[in-house]
Amino acid sequence: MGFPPHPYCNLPRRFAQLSTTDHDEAVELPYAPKPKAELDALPLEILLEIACYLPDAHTAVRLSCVCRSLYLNLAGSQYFWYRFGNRNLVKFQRFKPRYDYHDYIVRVVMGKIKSTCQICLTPRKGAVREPLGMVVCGSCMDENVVIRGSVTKIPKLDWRAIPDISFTYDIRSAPGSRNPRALTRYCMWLPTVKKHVESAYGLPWKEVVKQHLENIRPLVSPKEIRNYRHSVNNKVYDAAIEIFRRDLESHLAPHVPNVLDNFKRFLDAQRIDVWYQIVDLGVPTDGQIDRADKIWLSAQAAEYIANIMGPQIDENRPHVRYYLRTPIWPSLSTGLINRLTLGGQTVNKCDTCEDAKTLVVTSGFGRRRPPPVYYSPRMFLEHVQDNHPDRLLAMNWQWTL
Amino acid sequence: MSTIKLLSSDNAELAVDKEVAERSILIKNMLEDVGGDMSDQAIPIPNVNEAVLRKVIEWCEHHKSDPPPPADEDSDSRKKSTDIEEWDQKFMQVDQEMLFEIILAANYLDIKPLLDVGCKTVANMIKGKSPEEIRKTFNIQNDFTPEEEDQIRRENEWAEE
Repeated sequence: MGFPPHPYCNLPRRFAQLSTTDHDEAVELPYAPKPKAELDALPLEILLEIACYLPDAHTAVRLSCVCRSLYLNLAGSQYFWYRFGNRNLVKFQRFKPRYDYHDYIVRVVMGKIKSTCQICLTPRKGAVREPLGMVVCGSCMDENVVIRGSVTKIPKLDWRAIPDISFTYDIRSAPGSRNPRALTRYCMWLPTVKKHVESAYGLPWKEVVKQHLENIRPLVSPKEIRNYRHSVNNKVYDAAIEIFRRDLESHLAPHVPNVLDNFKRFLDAQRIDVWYQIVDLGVPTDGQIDRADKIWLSAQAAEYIANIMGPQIDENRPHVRYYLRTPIWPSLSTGLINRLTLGGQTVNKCDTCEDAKTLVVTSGFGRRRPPPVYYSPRMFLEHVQDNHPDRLLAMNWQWTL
Repeated sequence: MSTIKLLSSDNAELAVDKEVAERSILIKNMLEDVGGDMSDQAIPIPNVNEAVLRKVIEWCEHHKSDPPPPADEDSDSRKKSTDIEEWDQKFMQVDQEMLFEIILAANYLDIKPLLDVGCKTVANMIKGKSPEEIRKTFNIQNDFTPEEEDQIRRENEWAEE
């Protein structure tokens, strides 16, 4: 009498047919060959790993609807949905053991729970958005809408077929700004825009962007715009600090105490200007070139350094600048005078000027012929800055130019 | 640099630098358990055939100087990004059977970063596709009965959009 068929597959159990002969004779390969590796035959733990990289619950459920084995593995696994929810969904609710998480996710994503966002599944945060016919929370709206103005610029697209959504979002003007501005704008649902664009061009979204929308920016959500601007702002800030450290810090440090901190303070004050530059830049979307590349970042950083430290005069020597009337000048000139007068000498002359021997730093002891020109130390520094900018930071205690 | 030998499921012996092989936590632990000296004996890798083992070794060689992955297995950063390095993208341009074999091998050999790259590659192939498109991409047969399919469609109607 044979063994009954295995309850979980059609293959008969073959325990009785196991060979009792010597292994050396019967086996050529050390291990039995495995079945072909396919998606629907992957173990649950690996399917879970893959699902963790899926963008949302929709895709995970779609995957579970592909075939019987995936459905049994995924839809039937509370372990899978619980872990998937915990890893991929914002504030995934924890219910009592043996709760049917798959059913919960399906009901939420179908919009059957009126207060739970269909996208992130955050409970008690969603609101029914009439034009969309979906329950979506503010944060997911923020991530999935795009301003109509940028959609209307897309050639070939019949944007009138896409419904408008009146959406109020917070547009922070700059990091740390105390006045976030709430703007109500006509927006469009980005996934719908993408679908329409793909069908109008007959290409996947990325390809359309790459080939036809390079100059149309920003076609991204308000959240992405904010994140991008913050990130570029920080990059410019870091680039400016790096340039300052490399080119200027060592030259200025002897004259200005805590020069780096001073520079950072001025740079912070400049950040709002950086912000407006970034607004003009435009946010790159899939496949578009990031205009805030290394060259742009360096140029911006150099511009902000010039605003704080004055324009560079000598192309090859970045520390030779026109510091006069810049934010750093009061500290720099005070530092220079303090340093130069340390030696006790307050009188000297400019040997390299045409009006040589006429320049006297302090009043009272001028020569008669030719008549002396009297300068205060501060004026003397201005003279040096105007006529010998390369020597400004290099003067020694004798005021030698 | 010391070399060790790995024995694939189809009986092929592959010599590999110990440092490279130790990208696999399984092999690393095994070597630690036996005191590190396996120069005369091949380590059996019964779940991985020669072709796949060669690919895995190629990946490990390229990534031998990478820092170890974070110990926290639920780390958000690991799970959120689906970006794949250019070299890894090219490495993963193989037929689907090989791709899944690499994933299984990475899982068996406990090479987390390779497993991540493999899973990201598959996830990117699934993203944005309907069940029918997923079937086509992975050559999976729709084996639901019409009644089952109807029921699943009703249960998950939104997934079919």
